[in-house]
Amino acid sequence: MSLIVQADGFYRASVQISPERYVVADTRSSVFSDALTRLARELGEDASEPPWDQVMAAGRAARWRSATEPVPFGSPSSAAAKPFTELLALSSRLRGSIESYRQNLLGELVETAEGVLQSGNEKLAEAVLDCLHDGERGETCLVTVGRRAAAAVAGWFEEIGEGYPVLVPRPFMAGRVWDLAIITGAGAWFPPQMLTTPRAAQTTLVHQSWIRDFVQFNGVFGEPATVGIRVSVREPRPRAGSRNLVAEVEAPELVPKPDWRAVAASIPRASEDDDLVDAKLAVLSGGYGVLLPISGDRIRGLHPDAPPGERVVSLKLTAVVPGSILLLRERGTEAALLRTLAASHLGADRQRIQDLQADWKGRLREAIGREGAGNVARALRARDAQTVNLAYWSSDDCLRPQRDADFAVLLKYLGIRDPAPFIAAGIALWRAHSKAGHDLTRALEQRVEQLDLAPLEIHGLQELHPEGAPSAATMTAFRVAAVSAETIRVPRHSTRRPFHARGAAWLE
Amino acid sequence: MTAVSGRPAVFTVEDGHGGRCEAPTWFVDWVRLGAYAALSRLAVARRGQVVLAVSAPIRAMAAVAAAYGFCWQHYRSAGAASACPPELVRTLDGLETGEKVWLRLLDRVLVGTYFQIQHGNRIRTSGGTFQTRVVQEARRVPAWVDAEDGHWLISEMTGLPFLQEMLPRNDPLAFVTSWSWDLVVVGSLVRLSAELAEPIGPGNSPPELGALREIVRPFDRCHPVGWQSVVMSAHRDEPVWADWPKYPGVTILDGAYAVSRWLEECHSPLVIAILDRAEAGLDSAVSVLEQGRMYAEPLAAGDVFWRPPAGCELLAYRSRP
Repeated sequence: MSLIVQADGFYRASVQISPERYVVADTRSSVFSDALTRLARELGEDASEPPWDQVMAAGRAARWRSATEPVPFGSPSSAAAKPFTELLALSSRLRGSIESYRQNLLGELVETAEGVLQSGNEKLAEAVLDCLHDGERGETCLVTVGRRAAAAVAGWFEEIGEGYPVLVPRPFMAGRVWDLAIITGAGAWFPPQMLTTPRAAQTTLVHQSWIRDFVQFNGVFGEPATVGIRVSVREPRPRAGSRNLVAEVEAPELVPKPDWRAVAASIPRASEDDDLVDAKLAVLSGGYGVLLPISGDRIRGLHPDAPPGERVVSLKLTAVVPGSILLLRERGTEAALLRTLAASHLGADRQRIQDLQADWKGRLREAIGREGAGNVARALRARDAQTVNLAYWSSDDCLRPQRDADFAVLLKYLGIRDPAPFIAAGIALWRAHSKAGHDLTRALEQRVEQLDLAPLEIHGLQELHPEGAPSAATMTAFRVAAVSAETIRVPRHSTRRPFHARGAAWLE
Repeated sequence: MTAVSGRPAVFTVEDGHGGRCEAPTWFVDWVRLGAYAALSRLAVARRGQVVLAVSAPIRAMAAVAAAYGFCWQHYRSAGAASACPPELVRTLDGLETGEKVWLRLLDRVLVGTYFQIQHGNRIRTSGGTFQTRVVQEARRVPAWVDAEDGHWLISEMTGLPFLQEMLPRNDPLAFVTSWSWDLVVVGSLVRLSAELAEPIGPGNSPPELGALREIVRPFDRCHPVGWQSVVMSAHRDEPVWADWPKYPGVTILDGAYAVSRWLEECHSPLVIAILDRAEAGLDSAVSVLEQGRMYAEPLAAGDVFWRPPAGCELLAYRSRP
């Protein structure tokens, strides 16, 4: 089909913006949510500390999953019943060892959780099926907020013989145009473009009535847009004489968030002589964390939907956001790997080039130890060096200062009379490093071509070992689950390395 | 062909069922953006860089339609200063031995190394020796143009009747053999190549359609007869313009990856950033645009003179010079 005609279908659908909302009255899930909110309020900061952290994480996961997964608990495919069971087990262990007021609140939470379990989440499941039956088969689909919920619903549909496709946001957005799309959950839980860029003639949001959702959605540029997009949801009419008896909760508050204090406490300790850099903490799928240095430039990433040969990409570190996929080494950094791979491209001159590099780095570290970094930096600037980055220059990650002129000033300051061989060696190292980087990209691209990326889709992480490459070249693709807003000072060597993190469970 | 509105259709495209139809309005809107960029690039250059970022329900065909509009308008306004005008050689005596040259002869275009003028009337090159009287035009090929040697017969150049239909001026050969570095399109080579092959024709029931590529004419090192644009892979390490004496007048960044990777390294007076609201990496690209806008002067809809197609949104700003 002509690409213009194909694209025209999407432009036409985008003009038909009319999402509507269908709310499900479900008192049991509402009172459970209320009990959880009241306990969290009472606990305050204690909610992040043992033994409460696990109880609260299981409680939040139970609330989130039962709201996003329209599957009866009795189905073997249900993943929402698990955190409820976990919550009940953890709570029973706490009984008798806590203050009476908290004991009462915990008792209410347990009682209401048992109520939700008994109700079996049937109301939401029935409502979603009802809405789906309004559409024509083959032209109707269901969209869930995440892959875990999609797998559960698809499993349940198979059990009951309902053949509706179950999609998650990105494939839904990148796919075809439907007649009817049923979205399970509040609009606030989805990328706003799900509603501002419809992929169906009719879109319906289905969620429980105690969840207070946004009523309006802006385009990706938001308020600053020069010409913007704003979509209002058609709300259900309130029944005459009805009163809202349940406590409403703002939809964004329900989204599971990492416990940043617990994640930060999991950062591996580094030696005391490491220089400190500013970094942002990110939580990765699979219960991992990583530190992204603010001063860093780029990091290797993956775009699974890009055309073959263009999937391994270089992402700007400051633009890493939830949903980005990073390629990281589980042991060590990519820079260390490239150093090893680059050595093979240096040829017969390898030893001489490495010796020259070791020579100037050794002299620089000595000078910093002797004179102090501040004095060395001042001396270099006085000799017209434009950029002075001593901590980085003396680190193993740096091949050479970027500008030849700065490198020459540094070498002369370090007592090297003829900088030319050092600069030439630096250029040779940079070229070898660059070639190693290209080779690694090509090898990873080939591996991505051969692999089924389903584990990455479902679990958010997948190991990639390029064929014929040394075992050190194995990288893991991690989906970023969250990025902290705050910047922290951390040792340079702890950045870009994934670590097992506490406080990152139950995030999907 | 007449549009539903009663006005003449602007373009004809294939309808996907073996027939033809009028090009949709959104396609024409993107072509207009390119034409607007060609007209305004020189004016905006004096007042800092302008970034026009558009998020579309789908980005297929948007960048190539804008590139089409740019090349068409650029050629129409020929005479306006090009960012990198070709180095025309007034007399063949001005050439130096060993220089790479582009020659338009009576029957062919030749790219090769110039050796010498023999007996005052024969030019000797790596591609052969010719009478100087058959040389219609000679240009030096700058060192930063990575063009392969070869020769191409004018009689074998396809698409000239199509260009005659599509171009504002009736000289397809001059268009085919002219050079321009004023437009760079950055994106996925696989996607852009497929989109440039899309057939199009004028709105007056043309006998045959031609590929958009015939107008956009991206630089091809194996066929350096002439070019109107340069298409660059977003995955390159260094920008194509790294060695150019001037930055391109307009850069089109096609897709989230191209925007996140290259926006900060674009020095064109006018940058068009095209995002697909359904693509992976959208949030990263929006975050890069937001960072750019933070230190820039926001532009109002009235400052831009272009309305995005229905279903699209626009973020426009001017960085301070």
